[in-house]
This record gives sequence, C-alpha cells and structure tokens, in this order.
Amino acid sequence: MLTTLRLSLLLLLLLLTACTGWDRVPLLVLPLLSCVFLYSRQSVKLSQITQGHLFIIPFALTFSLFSFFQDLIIGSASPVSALLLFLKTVIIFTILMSGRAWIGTGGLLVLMRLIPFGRSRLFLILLVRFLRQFIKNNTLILHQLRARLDLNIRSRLTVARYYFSNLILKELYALHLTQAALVLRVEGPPRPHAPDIPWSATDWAALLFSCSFAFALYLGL
Amino acid sequence: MLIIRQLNYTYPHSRSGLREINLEVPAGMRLALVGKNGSGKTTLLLHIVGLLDGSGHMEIAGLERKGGNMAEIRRRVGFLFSQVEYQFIMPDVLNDVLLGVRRDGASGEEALEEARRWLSRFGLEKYQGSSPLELSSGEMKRAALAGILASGPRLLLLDEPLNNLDRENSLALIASLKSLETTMILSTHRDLLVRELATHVALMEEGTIAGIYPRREALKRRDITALLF
Repeated sequence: MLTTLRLSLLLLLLLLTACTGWDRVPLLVLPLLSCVFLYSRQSVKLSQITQGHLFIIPFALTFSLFSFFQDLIIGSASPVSALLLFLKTVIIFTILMSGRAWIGTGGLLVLMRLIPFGRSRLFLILLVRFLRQFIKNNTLILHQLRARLDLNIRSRLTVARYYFSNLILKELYALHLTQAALVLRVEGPPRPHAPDIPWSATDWAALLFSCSFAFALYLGL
Repeated sequence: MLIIRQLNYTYPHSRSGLREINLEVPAGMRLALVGKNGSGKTTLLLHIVGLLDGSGHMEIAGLERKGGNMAEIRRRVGFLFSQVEYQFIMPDVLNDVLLGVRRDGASGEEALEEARRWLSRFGLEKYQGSSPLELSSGEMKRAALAGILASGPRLLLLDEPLNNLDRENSLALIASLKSLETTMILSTHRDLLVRELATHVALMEEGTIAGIYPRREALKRRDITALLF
C-alpha cells in the first residue's frame, strides 16, 4: 500500500514537472524542495548527489540543443523553451534519483510481489540484479582504467575504446555465471518476501509537496 | 554418494578438459581436489552439477546423471561458485536464502524463520535486508553458503571456497563447514583447507585423477604439498 502511494506520488511529480509551462516555472521549486527533503532523509552526502548528477548536465544540454536546432529548422526556435526543457530534464532526473532510494529495496520487493505473472516477476528480479552488477562492474572498470592508463585529454578515445570492450566482456561473463546460478538455484519463479514498511515523516512531506504542486498548477499560480 | 566411471570431456576448440575420470566418494567424505591451474578441478565439479556434459557414467546422490533426473540431482547437490558474487539472485540476503528454503516446499512464516535461522547460524542477521553485492568477501561467502545449505543438499561442491578470504574469515568458514555432516568435494590450493577440513585428497594432473590419498598420507607427499600454500 505504502509503496503504491510512494510510486503514485513520484509519478505525479514527474508528470506535473513534465507538463509545467514557462509561465509557471517558479512552481518547479516545489518538486525540487520535495527532492531536497527526500535526499535529506536518506543521509546522502552532497558530494555524492553532485557526483550522481554530473552526467545528466551534458545529457540535458545535448537534449535541449537538439530540440532547439529542430525548432530552428521548422522556423519556430525559442531559446526559452530549450532552457525550460533543460531545467525539466534535470529536475525529472533528480526526482527519479531521490525517489529510487525512497522506494528502496523494501519497496522494490513489494513491487515484485505485486506482479501476478511468474515469468515477469523473474524478469524484474533479474533486471534489478543485472543493473546492480552493472553498476559494480562499471566502478571496477573505471578503477582498472585509472590504475593502468594515463587519463589525459589525448588518451580519451583510447580510454573509451577499452572501457566499452571491458564492459561488454564483463557483462557477458556475468551473464554466463548468472545463467548457471539460475539453473542451479531457481525452480520456478520466486515470490519474494517483502518486509513491512512503516509510514515516515518523508512520506507525509512528499505527499504535502506533491499535493501543493498539483494544487498550485491547477490554480495557475 | 558419487560414482563416476570413464568420464571424458573436451572443451570447444579441442582443449582437453577431463580424461578417463574414475571416482567414488562415499557419504561423509570431504574430498579436496588439488592440482595446478587448468588441471580440471572446476571442470569436474561443473560436470557433477550438470553444467557441463561429458561422456561417461555418473551416479550422484543415488541418481544416474541423465536428462530426466537433472532437476532432482540439482536439488540434492549444492554448488558454491568460486566467484561467489554471481551466485546471488535476489535483491536482499534474506530473500536469497529463502530461495533455498522454498525448494523444500516450505512456505510463509515457517520458511522465513528457517531462512533467519540460517542467517543467524552464519552471523548475518543484521544483513538480512542488505544487498548481497554490498557485503564484504567473507560475508558474501557465508551468505552464499547459507543460501545453498538452506536447501538441504546431500552433496556440497565448493570451488575455491577460501578465495579472497583472510585467515580469520577462512577459519570461520572452515569451522562452519566442519560442523556439517554433508559430503563435500572442494577444489583448492590452500594448505589450511586441506589440513583443517578434508578427509581425503585427490591429486589432479592434466584432466585426470593421478591418485586419491587419506589426508595424513597426502600431506606427506611432496607432489601434493608443492601445490598448496
């Protein structure tokens, strides 16, 4: 029940942010405040948040530039709408990142239990496992490259080449072993046990921020 | 518990895997497979659990190794991977152990209690909600073992069980394994494991078993001690 509410609130925040027009930009402070609150309750350090958000800035910038050039070709280019797209992309990513830890492993297990089809449940379990292994492998590869290659501007292409070949090989190896683990350990789709998650101040705050955001947009403030 | 007759296997690209393997492991034996890298230790373990398919006759925990019996054989055999992090499937430690418990048909609170008992036996109660990939090497190894033992295997296969473990964690793992009555086959290069856990030692050379010796005799042989550290 609580996980469903948390997911609904996140979806609401995402949808409302995506629908916010230029005339209501100040209201985007509300989802941002919600994210700040979610982060503050998870005892995540500011440096970790900054590090986690570093790659979204160039991504959002590229995304907005493409949109701007597309509009330019059509003949209705607006730097303001490109800027709004940039802002919204960054905020949507922040909502996703802060919401991910808020839902947590407990919430994820509840979601897995909610899936009625065994194969789909197993698919989600494996997807989560794959993503976690991917993140771990990614860190390992970065450490290996940093330890063994001179990371200057000239060597960027070499680094990229080694990074991708390493990533693909490590993923293939991981898939091969995960397949073996599945054969040995899984008989039919597992139905995970989900722990009881108590209501917290974060839930009330997220509820308040989301409702205020929705209400303010509705009133056209 | 395990009978192997004339087992042969060649890897793709013609690399020799196993040649003329004959082996009998009675219940209760803890057999250490010792040999150089590439001598066929892991290949033999992968055959026993059915992940590789060579030619020859095998009987595992009372069942002949053939298509129709494989599911039951895998229920009776537990396998601890050398790279143990790939062994985990579920998002948290408790659910991963539950995966083993539920093989026995246990359900609900009863299964949960059983899984928690296994975690507490390996000193992992406080990690039940953690992701297995976030544990230290020693904890990861113990969590994987708890997940395997929870399904009640009759034969336990351990591939380099002391990999990445310091002395303290190695001794803790050996103590846990020693407390079990399960028949075990373990591949290792570690002197500590052979001295503390094995009852017998099989020397593997280039895909064959060169000899099987009781531990005391094995530890007197230079060809075996030279392979251990």
